[in-house]
Amino acid sequence: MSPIDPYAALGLAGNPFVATAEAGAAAGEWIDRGLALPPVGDRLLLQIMGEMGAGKTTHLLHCQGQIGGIYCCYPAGLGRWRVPPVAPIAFWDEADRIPRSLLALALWRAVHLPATIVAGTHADLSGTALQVGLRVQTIYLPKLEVETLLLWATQRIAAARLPDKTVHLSLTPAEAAQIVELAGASWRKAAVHLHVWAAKQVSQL
Amino acid sequence: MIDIQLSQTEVRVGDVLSGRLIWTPARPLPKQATVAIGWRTEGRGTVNSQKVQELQIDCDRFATGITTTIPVQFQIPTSAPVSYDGLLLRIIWEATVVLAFPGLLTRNQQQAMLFRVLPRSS
Repeated sequence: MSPIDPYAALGLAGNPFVATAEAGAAAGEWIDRGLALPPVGDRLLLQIMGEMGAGKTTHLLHCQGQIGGIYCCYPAGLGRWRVPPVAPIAFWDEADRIPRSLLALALWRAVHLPATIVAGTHADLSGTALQVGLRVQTIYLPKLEVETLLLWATQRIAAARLPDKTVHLSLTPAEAAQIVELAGASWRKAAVHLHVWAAKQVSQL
Repeated sequence: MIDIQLSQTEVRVGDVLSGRLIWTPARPLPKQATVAIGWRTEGRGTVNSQKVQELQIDCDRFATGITTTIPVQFQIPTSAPVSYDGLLLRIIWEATVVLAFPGLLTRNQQQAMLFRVLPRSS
């Protein structure tokens, strides 16, 4: 007979690496990289750059959760043909998809409001921003590293601990290194591999 | 704290899950009491859930300071998904009792108990 909740045997309320139903599906995967929250209404374009899955969306949603403002994500295709919303603090995700004319118009409005635009982007938008008179700051989210993954996994495991129980699940540096290799630069893929890793530990009980 | 006890931890689709609520209420008495069974997914990917059956409990059956036991029964639909513990996904069944109290400052009480739904043996 299978245990009703196999994770309880490890002292856990569930798999520590589950995805949440929150927007961005990665809201629980934010990592404190020591980045300050963006200033509001600062005539600033803050570019968050990094490879796919590096945590750009997660960082934008985290900042919005802390300081408010408007968040929008630009789809591929015809849906990108709309003027980005401008507010004292606005978050534009996948901003490299915004057509150049609409981008320039919205950034010009950001100068005159004034506004801070935090943009998750794969391409450098500084040229257009500087032309309309916005200051530009760029943050490159670092690639996935073993030490950071270990720290994050430890935090997630601790967060899933059942009250008054000892946790019998820990990620070794060797296992973390293997997951980093499998995930490439993507935190999202790393979270999936960690979920599978935890489920395998449970199935071996 | 209200307690929900199930007479079995595993039940096959199409069978009946039975259990009981046990509670010794303090003041104030709840304005609404419901017990429900349902399933939810947990893992990677989009989360899904469904409340399969819900019963309203007559709150007049509770009296302050008196321990009350209320039997409950649920039929597991034959079309219901079975419990699953996979590497990427879990399907988790639970029975949940929720007590809603009058007043804005009184928090609702909720208690859940997991159980497993198994496929029918041929």
